[in-house]
Amino acid sequence: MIRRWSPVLIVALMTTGILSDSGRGQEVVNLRWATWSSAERVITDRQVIEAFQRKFPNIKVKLEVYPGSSNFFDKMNLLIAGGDTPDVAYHFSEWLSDWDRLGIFEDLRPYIARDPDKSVFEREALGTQLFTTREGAQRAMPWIVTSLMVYYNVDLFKKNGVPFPQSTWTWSQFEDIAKKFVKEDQYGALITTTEWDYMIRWIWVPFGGYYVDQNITRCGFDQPGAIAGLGFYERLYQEKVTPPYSYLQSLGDRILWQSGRVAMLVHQQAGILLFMDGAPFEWQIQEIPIATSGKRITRGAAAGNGILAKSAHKTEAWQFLKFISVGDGARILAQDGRGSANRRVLAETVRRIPFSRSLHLSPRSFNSQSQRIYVNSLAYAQPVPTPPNNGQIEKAFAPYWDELRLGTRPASAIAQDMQRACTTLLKK
Amino acid sequence: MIFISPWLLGFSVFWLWPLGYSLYLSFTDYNLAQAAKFVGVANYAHMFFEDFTFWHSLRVTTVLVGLYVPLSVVGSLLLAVLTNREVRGMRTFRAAYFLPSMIPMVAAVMLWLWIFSPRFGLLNFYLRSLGLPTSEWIASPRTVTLSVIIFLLWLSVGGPRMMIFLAGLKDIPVELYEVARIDGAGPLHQFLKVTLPLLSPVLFLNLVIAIIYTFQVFVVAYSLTQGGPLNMTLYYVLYLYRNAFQFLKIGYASAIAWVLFLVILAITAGQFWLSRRWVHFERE
Repeated sequence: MIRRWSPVLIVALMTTGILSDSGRGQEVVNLRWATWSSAERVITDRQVIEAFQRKFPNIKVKLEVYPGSSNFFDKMNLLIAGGDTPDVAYHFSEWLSDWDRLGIFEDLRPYIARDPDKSVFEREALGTQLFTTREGAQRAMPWIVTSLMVYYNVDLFKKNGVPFPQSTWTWSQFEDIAKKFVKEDQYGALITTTEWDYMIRWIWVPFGGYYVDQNITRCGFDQPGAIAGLGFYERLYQEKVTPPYSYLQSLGDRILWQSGRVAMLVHQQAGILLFMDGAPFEWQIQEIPIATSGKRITRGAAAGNGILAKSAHKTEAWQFLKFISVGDGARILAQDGRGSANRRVLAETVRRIPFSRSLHLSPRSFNSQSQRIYVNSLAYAQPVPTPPNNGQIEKAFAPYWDELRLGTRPASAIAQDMQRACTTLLKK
Repeated sequence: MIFISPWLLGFSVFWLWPLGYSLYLSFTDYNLAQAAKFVGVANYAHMFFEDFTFWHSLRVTTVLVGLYVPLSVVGSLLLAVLTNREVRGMRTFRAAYFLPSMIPMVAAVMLWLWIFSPRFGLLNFYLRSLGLPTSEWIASPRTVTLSVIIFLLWLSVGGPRMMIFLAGLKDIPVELYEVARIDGAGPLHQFLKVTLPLLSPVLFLNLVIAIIYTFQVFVVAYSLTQGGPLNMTLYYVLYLYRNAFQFLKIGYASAIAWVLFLVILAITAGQFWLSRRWVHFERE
């Protein structure tokens, strides 16, 4: 029976393509790339995809845009929960420990090892370190690496007769300078707001403190350095050096900064795209102040992309990931400040910023000295150890940050509660 | 059976199965990526005996329900009574009151972020203009609940609830009011002795729905206040959401969801039991 029907079966299978080899060369693979984007960025994203598809005509990339970076983590988790995972997705170093625990992203080390162009990947670069787990797995390729620096309003400094900050300054001098600006509806410094809470975690680092130790077995809020860092933050609010919490909450730090009422802004390098575009005053940047240890030290953060472990097209996904991280795509992305996976590309990004299509930064402000400060700021950043349930601990801290800002309790008492909450959650 | 089978299929696939699955998940440790691990009642034990944030979120939600629901239901009822008059231009008034409920909640949140702004907001501008003290609104733990209630009232008082009341009012025979007037009843007596008893089934329906919806309030906490300040708006479903999609504790979040279901079920059952004393159905 089988023998009688087998020729017919073979012909049928060949015509339907199951046994045919003829079309394999033209087989098109459809990739899904999930990322957050804005109206400006999406233009560049599409340019990158077009350039990639010209180079790899057999790979089609579908761009899935999720507005807003802060909620991307939740949105991705919803996709994963629904079994609707993309092939390549945006990743942020703050989420590394949470996603690593679940094995959501591929370890990229084998891909890099197999790649004929492996020399272009910088294993020791900060961005790569920020996406590397304690076990050594690399979960994403960075396209933005950012550290902290101080932006200052030149016009406000001139108006108040305060000398410009020098690169030799300490945090104590930073505080003294900031206090000189305190008057009705004018503030000395703006550290961050709720939207950028992840940037706060550095606040105890300059004072010798830590969030969790290197072995991730102990929280550090009972240590003098952490308490001193929280105290510094508390003083800025209590002495009205920084705008009140209500202003930050309702207006956001960008509007407050651009209103020209704040003398200094401590923010990430990547903030230059958001905060300085269209600022109606002359501004400059300075390196972060020197820590109590005598070194200039801060933390780094990275954004990038990774390959989902559930992707059915991992080889093609790697081609695309490489293209947007270190290939031609990275250079296109540099137009809007991304694609700065390493110092070389970062320097390239900086040169392009004043000429960016979507930005109108003042070339006068962004001179060669600022460019040097901008690039050098990366050197002071270090990866901060984070526990596997980092997201939950961060959320548990939210009311304590509120208390610091509102001044309901002294920093030392809040530190005790933070230590208790952190220790309880760390054990889990 | 044939006629009911499409509904049965939909009910089973989209309602019964997810419900049963979430009940199963509530007894597991499940994090989306790895297989669910059965943990017995551990999630429930943790929730009741160790998780203080769970109790906090239940408390702040109950406070919101206790304050917002009566104001909202009474507000909608009064607005329905006021707009139940045959006055020139009344339809325009009704539409104007209904308008906020048609605005997507997130868009409304954006608007109210500005209205609540202590320095540049509309509310404080009016208060300052009148020489009254201003408020920190959503930025202060003391006034954030009041701010959320104001926002929700603005959004809902003139909305579908008012329309349901209006439909109920239109259904009351005018003869009853005429008889009451002949007997010497004034407007207040007419409202208390005619309107309210005859409207009680509608009032009951609105009350039940309002309590269920308010226990499930989410968008306002997620978008307007992000649960703060000091977790004063960490409402129950926001805490559930955080556990599910931010802490990736799906099993625990399912347990939280089931407790909410039981709380709402108990309150609704209690309302039905109490309704025998004050709700008057026409056929009874």
